[in-house]
Amino acid sequence: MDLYRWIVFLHVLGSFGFMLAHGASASAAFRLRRERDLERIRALLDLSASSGIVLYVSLLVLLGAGIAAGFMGRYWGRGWIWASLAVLIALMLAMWVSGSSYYHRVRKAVGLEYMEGSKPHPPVDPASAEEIDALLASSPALFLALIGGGGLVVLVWLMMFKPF
Amino acid sequence: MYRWIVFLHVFSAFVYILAHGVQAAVMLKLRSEADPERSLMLFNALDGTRLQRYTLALVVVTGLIAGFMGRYWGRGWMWTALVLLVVIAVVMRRYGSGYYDLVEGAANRAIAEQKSQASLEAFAVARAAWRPVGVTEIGIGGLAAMIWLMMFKPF
Repeated sequence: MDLYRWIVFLHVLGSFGFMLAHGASASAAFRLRRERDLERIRALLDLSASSGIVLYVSLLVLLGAGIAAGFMGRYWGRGWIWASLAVLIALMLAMWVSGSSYYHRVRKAVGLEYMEGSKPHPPVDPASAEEIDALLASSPALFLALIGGGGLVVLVWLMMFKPF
Repeated sequence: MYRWIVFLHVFSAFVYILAHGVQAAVMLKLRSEADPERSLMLFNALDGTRLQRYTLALVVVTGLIAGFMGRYWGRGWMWTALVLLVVIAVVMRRYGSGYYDLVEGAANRAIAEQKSQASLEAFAVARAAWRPVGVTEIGIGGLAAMIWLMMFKPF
């Protein structure tokens, strides 16, 4: 049995699982830009958060299998594997800085539990309609989609072509 | 050129799965949402399927082209993958979409009947239908089988 191919298979499966779990957040991010009804905003934010566990488990599988495959295929001396790891870390940081912190501000504004830094907070009174409107109008959804899509193109290219 | 077509095939498959994720999340979330009004709100998240349709078309077209360029149409795995894709699409459409109709109908009836005990019970029965779990299992199992066929080209 070719164990290396099975590890790569697991890596690819983890990647698809990650994308599937991330779909709810990505879709909710675009839908939120147009939504102004408080209850609907809350439902979208809850939906976005609902696939968190699958997202993180898939991320662990894709990372663990990717690192193991790197050792088994003796790729750690090649540039593309380090470049892909750097791109993944940069993407996660960008998503966290621009995405997560923003959506926790929205959660706070609509009266849902939220995180500030790494600290969870209970719901507070909702902000005014004007404040919520201003917050939703400054959505980073398009920016996140552009860097996410661009990052995915680069990652798939590096994995498939192993150019350097 | 062949590798670029396969690259496009893989990339569009990732985007398709990303676009499909919201439907899976809504379906599983509906099971635990006991309030009929809030469950109807979840359907708002489903309003954009254009990206999904375009990327599925791209997955199929680039897959067909790669099959010709790689001379894979004489191999069994290629036909198996195509049959699997069609079967999964039919199952998803019939049972996945059917679940949305079931829950939406029960939620609307519960609201129309001002959340009477009987209507809420019917709503709970609709939510607890086997379809979300069954469709999820078929979807994930089918995806794993297709990735395995593409990567291992076993027969």
